[in-house]
Amino acid sequence: MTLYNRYLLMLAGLFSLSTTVLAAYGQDRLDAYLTVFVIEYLVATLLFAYLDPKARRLLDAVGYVLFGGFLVIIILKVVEIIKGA
Amino acid sequence: MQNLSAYTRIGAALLLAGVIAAPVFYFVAGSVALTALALSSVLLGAVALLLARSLPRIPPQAARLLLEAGLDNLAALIEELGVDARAIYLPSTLSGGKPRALIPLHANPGPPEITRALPRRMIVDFGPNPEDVGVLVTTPGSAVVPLLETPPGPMSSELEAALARVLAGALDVASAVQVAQDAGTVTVEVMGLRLETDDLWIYQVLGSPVASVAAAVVAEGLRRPVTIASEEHAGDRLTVHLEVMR
Repeated sequence: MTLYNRYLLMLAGLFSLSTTVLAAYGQDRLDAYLTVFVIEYLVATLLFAYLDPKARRLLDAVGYVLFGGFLVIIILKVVEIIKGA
Repeated sequence: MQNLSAYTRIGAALLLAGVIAAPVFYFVAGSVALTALALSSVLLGAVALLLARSLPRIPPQAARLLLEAGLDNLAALIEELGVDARAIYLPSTLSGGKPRALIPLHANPGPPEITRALPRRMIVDFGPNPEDVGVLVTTPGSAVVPLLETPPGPMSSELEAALARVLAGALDVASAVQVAQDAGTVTVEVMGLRLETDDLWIYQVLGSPVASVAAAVVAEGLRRPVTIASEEHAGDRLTVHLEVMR
């Protein structure tokens, strides 16, 4: 199996598993799912250190965008907590 | 549509399915879990499309034909010269800025000692004796070393990382690589090998393409000449024994 296939299968497996586990625990907040997806994506991309340099640059760019989204979710949560307090 | 790679087709399908399904699951079905699954499909689709953009533009079969044509020409030249000595893989510091392999024209009783940088010519004299003449050739390994963004270091772990980056990453012909060093020898074990090669005569001189890559990267990392002592194939495993020269 090629490196790209293994990477895609790993991502698909992680996303499916985390969705199943979170759904089984009755999680009903979309931001919780998205946060887990972002973390899984960053970890999986980091583990596949030997990807082609061009692929790595493109995937890193996606990682930056997702990390930006992750930070937005956290900021919104912090604002929500502060407002609640 | 036929020119599109499998990654492009899968990526486009996942992206489209996710974009359509996410609002339906969220607003109509009211299921957060299914919406999340649709969004993960969007992310997977985007990743597959990006991977498709970084695929090599030359098909693997065409690359194989070019490799074999180049090696056939080199084999004809070497055979004509009547050479049967094993190639010595030189680091770029000893072979004019690019890693190359030196094939001595005369079999010497002992390994030749190469202490100075050789000129960028095809036929070079590498020692003080009149018989110290050899052919300096570019090998599959020589062409692969520039793919490394930084030169490898001499530690086993650094050589292993460099070889994995080339064989498992850039070339995608193996799953994993292990390197062990021991008193003038380096053993490179390549696991999950996916490169099928015909048994060409030139491999007795240069080693197989993967062994050639291993020798070139190790020579570059150690900054010393190396030769391929032996190679062992067992299923999808290849073990290459390299001898490090002075």
